[in-house]
Amino acid sequence: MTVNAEPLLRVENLYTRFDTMDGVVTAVDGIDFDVHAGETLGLVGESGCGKSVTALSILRLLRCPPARIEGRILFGGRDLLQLDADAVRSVRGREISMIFQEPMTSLNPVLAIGEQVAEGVRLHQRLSRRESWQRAVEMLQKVQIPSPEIRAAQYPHKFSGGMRQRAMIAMALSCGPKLILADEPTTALDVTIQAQIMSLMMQLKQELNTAIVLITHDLGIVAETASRVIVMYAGQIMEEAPVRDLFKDPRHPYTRGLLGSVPVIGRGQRPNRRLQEIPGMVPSPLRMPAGCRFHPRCPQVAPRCCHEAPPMVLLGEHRRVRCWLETV
Amino acid sequence: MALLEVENLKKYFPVQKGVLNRTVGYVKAVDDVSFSLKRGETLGLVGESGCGKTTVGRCLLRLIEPTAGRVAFNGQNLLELDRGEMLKIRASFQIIFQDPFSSLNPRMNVGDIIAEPIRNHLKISAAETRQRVAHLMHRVGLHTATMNRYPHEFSGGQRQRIGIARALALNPKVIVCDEPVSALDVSIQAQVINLLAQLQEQLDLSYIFIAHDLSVVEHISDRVAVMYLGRIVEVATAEALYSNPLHPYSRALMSAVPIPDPDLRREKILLPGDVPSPFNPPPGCNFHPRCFVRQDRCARETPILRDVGDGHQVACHL
Repeated sequence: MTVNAEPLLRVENLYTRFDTMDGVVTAVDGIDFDVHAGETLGLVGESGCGKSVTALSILRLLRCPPARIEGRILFGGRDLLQLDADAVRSVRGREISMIFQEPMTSLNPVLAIGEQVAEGVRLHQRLSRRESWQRAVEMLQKVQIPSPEIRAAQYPHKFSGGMRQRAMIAMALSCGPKLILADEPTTALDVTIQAQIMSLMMQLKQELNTAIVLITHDLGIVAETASRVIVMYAGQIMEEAPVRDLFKDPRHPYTRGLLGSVPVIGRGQRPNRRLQEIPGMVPSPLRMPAGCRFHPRCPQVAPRCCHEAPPMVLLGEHRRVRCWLETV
Repeated sequence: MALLEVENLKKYFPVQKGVLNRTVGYVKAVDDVSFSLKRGETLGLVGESGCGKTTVGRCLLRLIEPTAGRVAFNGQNLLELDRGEMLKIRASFQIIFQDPFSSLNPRMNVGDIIAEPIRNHLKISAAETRQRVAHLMHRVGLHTATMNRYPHEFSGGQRQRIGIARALALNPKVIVCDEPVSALDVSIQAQVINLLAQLQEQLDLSYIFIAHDLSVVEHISDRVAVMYLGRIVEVATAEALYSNPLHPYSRALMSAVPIPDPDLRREKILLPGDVPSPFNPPPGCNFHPRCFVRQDRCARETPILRDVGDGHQVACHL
């Protein structure tokens, strides 16, 4: 990958806060990253770490208020956060599109599948109804839905989970976007269907040279598809690394904990059948611990971690860690 | 002798249509399933959604009444027992549910949730009950001080611990664990898996471990049964199954699991299409329309589970 080229997307100092009854929740707390054309960036973390909110903030899909978004999101020389609603709408779907986790709830149950795929094309490329329908059928064929002419006229309830996700991919790709934000695209699916969908996504990505931000909690999927990985915890980036470095030489204790806590298929049983645990649980966003947010669960915690937030330490191109251990 | 022996278990759900609710057919959720469980053993039951693994778990405890078959627990056929006798058996035969949110009564505090089985089954004083609840909470890693709190005040992992404490309340011998960790984040998942492994050693428990996550099942199970469309297609020790899966479905399933190691790129076997409807399963071997090594006879004859050595059983013509 060319490192010096202008990034496709640059997120700078992004904060997303929600005003709630109990106080202000900072879901995304000052993150920055780049996405380059054609690459696959993995965004991993556990529930509540802010990975989905990051994607929704980029596309301005959060209702404001209660959400308050600050920072800069640079895409094609423009700051998406400064655009008016019409201008954002022209980016959404055409230049950046999104694949949601729940293919059951993110499709409209009272519109035919073909209609939903055609809608984006019709609005963005100003095609007629007939032409856009034709385009929808082509897209459904591209995502390998059998007999697409018939299927396009059917409603979502006639589709299985895997087929709905294929239809979602068809919608996301219909206008040939430069970037796709895929939020847990296969989490709701069975493994054999997941394998089908991931292989389809990667193949189409190659063909169309689309960049993908793949949001997931599954380290296996990241290892198999991403070229670079960002690990998030409690709204912050804890570590960023090229995929191989992350798995071979994880530097943040949280990353090491995550990798140790998943059983790996085919590797046999570990002694005593014990997995490495990360003790405790993710902190409440209303009561973030002082200092490093991971310190109450960290096996290598030092006194200073408890009251001083660690800086982000740059270890090289696309390699950074937020930990005091790296500063000495 | 095996602690639990299941023979030819079947559960057909009738499908009714029209104003008269005439039965037009059956969904064969579980179709002729047999397996056994030894004392202290963990049997993993894996398969994709709709394969019938949860129905098997519930049929064992008669939470769903099976259509036919035999479930022998300590040599006694559970399916012949009346309601009262069955209730007694449930003291030693428990279940942990998948969803830690809906399986705990939101209006009961944790102490009462865990005490309920004790109050129903044993005639002991309130003070003794309380002591036992405290002991159970300690055992599963919950603070006894939280006894008076309600389920919504706990995280998913803690709620699953409450469910485990409730299952342990009457010193059971067998616990059916129905997807006990699939709703949890990976770091919490590891905590709960370790707890289950530790309890098994301490209390000499036997588990039926139902899950769709093959890596978790490999980790925790001694033997594993793979299900597809209501039938068991392969049974083997975890080691044999994962190093040498014989059934084409098991092979595809294993190969589809992503491995968290970027240097290990395996060839994935991609199965075409979706799991067919169990209302109208394909004839012969019900996997044949998606099978990559099928032959003519697969569409006609249903393969039976046969032993290929060392207790490795597979239902395939090849």
